[in-house]
Amino acid sequence: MTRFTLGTPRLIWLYLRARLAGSTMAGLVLVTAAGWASVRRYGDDPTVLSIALTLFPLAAACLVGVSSHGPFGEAERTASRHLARYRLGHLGGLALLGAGLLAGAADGWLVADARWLVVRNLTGFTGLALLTAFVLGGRLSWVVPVAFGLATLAIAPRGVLDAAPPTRWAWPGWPGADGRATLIALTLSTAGLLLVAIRGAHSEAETTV
Amino acid sequence: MNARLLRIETRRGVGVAAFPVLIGLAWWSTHDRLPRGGTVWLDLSLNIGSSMLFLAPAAAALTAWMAGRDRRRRMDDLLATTPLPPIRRELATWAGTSLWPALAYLAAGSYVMVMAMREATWGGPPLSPILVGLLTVVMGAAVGFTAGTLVPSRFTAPLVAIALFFSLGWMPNAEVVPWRLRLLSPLHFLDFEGYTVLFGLKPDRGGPIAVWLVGITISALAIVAFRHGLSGRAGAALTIGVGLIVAGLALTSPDRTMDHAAAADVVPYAPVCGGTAIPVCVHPAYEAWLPRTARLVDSLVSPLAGIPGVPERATQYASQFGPPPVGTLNLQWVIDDDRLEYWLSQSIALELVGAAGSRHGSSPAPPQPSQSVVAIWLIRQAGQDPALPETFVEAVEWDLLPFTPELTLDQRNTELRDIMDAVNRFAALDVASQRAWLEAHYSDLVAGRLHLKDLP
Repeated sequence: MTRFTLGTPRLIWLYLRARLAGSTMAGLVLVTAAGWASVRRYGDDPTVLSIALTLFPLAAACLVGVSSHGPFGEAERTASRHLARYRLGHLGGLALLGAGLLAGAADGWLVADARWLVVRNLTGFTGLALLTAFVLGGRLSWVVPVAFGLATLAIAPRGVLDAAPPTRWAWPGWPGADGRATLIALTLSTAGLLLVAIRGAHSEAETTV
Repeated sequence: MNARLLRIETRRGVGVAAFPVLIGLAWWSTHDRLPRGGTVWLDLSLNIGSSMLFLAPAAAALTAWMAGRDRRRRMDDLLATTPLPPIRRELATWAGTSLWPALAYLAAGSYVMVMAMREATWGGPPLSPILVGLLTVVMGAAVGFTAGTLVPSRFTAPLVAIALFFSLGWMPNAEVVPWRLRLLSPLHFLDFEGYTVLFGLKPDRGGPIAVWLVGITISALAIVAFRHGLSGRAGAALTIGVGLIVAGLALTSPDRTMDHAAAADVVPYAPVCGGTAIPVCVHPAYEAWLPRTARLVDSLVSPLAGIPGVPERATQYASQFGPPPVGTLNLQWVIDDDRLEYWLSQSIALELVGAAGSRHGSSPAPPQPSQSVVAIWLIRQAGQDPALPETFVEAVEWDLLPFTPELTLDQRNTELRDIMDAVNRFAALDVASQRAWLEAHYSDLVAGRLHLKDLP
């Protein structure tokens, strides 16, 4: 069991700096501001609203996923302290911050359960991003969520605003009351968070592109 | 740009790995929205072009990622010693990466077109939507590359993709964007629902949009070149790019509205007809869906066939020509989608009882209660039995009901119950009695002179 020592706050501070946590938080604020401003101005348009319900959580999730990249690679595994709790706190904290910000911004959006929808989608996309980070590395963690998010919009451009929910796997477009979508989002985020927290994101030293 | 370098970048870039995903995106967005069983080339071309909405952001993400590769691999200093100007190396990276999304766009489009060719019954594919889609993908790649070069951050790639997607989707609807600029939005052009096979792609705004997109592409790449210092070529490229952007703006005249001009603009065609109760004629592009449409029209018209005043023909009729001639049913749709069967039956039933408009439509008027009764009965006897609503709130989307805003909710519920009771009474009559009543009262029904109490 790792004890809390005088050096722990400094370690946390250095850990967060190495992961660009400050830039990520600034990015989350910017994404939220963009989402709030665009829906406030154009939220009457169903196209803008349906895009916003998917894209802004997606952007926030990509920021969290990319933040899982550490610059030290394999060397970090020789550290005397186990980093799982730092990773968990860092990524979980960013995801919670993103969820809180987006939920606040979604207040008043002209769709049922808007706050829950953005939180749910952010949770699921973050899980996807972290799972991708586990396989491809933090810097490429956006690949699968972006491809999946665009594919979701490709088959169901109007998402929750459609009379019938999109079929098959496009859970970000399902209504807020749909328990399956919640289950999928929670499963993805739990799996992603636990895997990356325990094992860390994939080291990109061997990536050639 | 060095050909060997381009070959290496094409083979070793991230685009190769992303190609299957790109193909999947293009195929879904093109194929999933098309009706089954037939081909309308105009819709197909516009759909192929629309896949740019997903491929352009993907291309932007890929090129933004590749733009940061040298920095990521700490190769900047080493590459600074090479004799080639850096912009040539960077252009090779851009071209080698953007080739893959463009190839995915063309491959998915070609596949869909070959499949569609087997079912096409009229015309050929308009090419300008396909070209606009391709140029949008290339433009996305250039914008992504420029963003990745100017802001070499790990966050750039996903954010530029999402921002581009949002811009492409948002621009056509943004009131803050000047109208002339909105007309240059690829999505505004490709998703415009006013194009019909009757008129083809008129007005075709593909030319100005193509010029505008090429201008943005060249300008974006010129900005990358400027990062390495001012040069004559980069300046010339930026001048050309900006010139093309301005030319695109100038070529798009806001005076050229989206309204189709006149009957003279109709692309000549010979309608194809079917049906037994009355002739049902559609544009030859929709021939594949004629049998199903004609069956529905037959089943709705049969109880009225031969009665004086009943339409003697059903045909597709463009709203630009004004109201259809007397005695002609206007087919607002053909049944190229299961969901349209019920809506078309509503539309035809309303026309048959003399209430072609509805409260959701514009003209001429919603049905009166007696007309509602017969229209609902016609639909039910045609096998299109809708779930009958119990209250007015449940029936609010029903075009078949009268529009009486002056009534309270309770009064509307009472009216709805009276209508449903009358439908059931009429349906309970034997066929001969129904026919006799219709023969005796059809002209009064169409003229709106009957009340609920006049029904049997």
